[in-house]
Amino acid sequence: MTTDDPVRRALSALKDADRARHAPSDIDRLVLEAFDRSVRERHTAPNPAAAWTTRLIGLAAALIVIISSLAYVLERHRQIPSEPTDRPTVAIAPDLRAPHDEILPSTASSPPPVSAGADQGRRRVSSARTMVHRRVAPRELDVTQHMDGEFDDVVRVMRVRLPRATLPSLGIAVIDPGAAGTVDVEVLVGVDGRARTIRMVR
Amino acid sequence: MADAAAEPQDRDLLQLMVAGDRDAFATLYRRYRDVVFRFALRMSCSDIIAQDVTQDVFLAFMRHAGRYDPRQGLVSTYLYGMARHMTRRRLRRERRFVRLDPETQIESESRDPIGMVSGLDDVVRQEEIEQVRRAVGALPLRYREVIVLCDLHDHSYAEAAAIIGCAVGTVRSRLNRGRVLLQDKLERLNRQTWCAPKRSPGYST
Repeated sequence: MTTDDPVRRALSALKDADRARHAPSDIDRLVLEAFDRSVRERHTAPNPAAAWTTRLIGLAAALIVIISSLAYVLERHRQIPSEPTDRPTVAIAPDLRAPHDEILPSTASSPPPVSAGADQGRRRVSSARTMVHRRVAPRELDVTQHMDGEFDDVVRVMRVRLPRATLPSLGIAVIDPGAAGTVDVEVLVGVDGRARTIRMVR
Repeated sequence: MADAAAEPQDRDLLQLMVAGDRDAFATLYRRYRDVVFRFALRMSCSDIIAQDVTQDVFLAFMRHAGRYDPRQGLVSTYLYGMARHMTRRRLRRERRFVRLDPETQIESESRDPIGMVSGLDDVVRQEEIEQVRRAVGALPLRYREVIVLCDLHDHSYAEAAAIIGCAVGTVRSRLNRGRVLLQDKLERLNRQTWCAPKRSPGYST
């Protein structure tokens, strides 16, 4: 007799007792009614092919919207030139209606039209100007209409606030180089982000 | 579970059932409802859980009968697998309730008709069966399920392995370990019995 013989005998007794156990009959009615219901629902369910077609159309529409949005964003991103990282942060003046004749030598004359046969550098400036035209905010002063010669690529007037102590380094004579405080200046900034000219506002 | 020759095979019934044949489903249901109920009852030691599991198994079976793959086993194996899964899930949910003593918390099933208990021998036998029920119910789940499948439902090791989803060797080792644990628990329960009227040799220490 092995060690688990008593266990087997006990389990055998339990097995015999379990044979008398039956599932309650009220489950029968519930389960069979559920089956009838599921069969009815299956027959009245919409055509699966039509349901799949609807889902596919929805998916295609969503994909078209996503791809169009991505293309639009990429196109916008491509049109905006990247700005140099070493450029100092400047605040664009809220109102740039100040006269700028004194810093632009020939503001009255319009720039000559760029012909198709112009040199490559000229074309680059022209395309940059086109891009800048799109970026200029309504309150900014567009100076590209009044430029020629060496200021052809100057595209923005920016008003910035500088410490007085920096003025001597810019070549501006001051009475007291160690004076504290700030001064407002206007800067003409080229398409490459570098300042072209500077003038004192106040 | 042995089908008579005249009775339709499970797979034929299943095909009819998938096509919406109510009689085929009813035949399958009546063939396996008690088996599923007893398995869930022995696994959960609760009449209520066993009823719920039986109902849920057949509701899921009717909804997902198309998922049944004949290459992976018999219909009965599929149903046992579902019953096992649902019982375990239900037990996991019930685990939130604190169990004070695993062996005394198990529901008593001595609710058999009084007429069946005739004389002292029957009373003693009922008491012994109750102890075995408690001992089986107190086993860890992994040992309990192999004991229920192999010793109470007469499944082979291979069938039990297919139901549980493990190797045959695992079933064998769990069964041996489970029987040893069961013997320990039976001995302990026998010792705890205040009045041991008559012990069968199987319960002797």
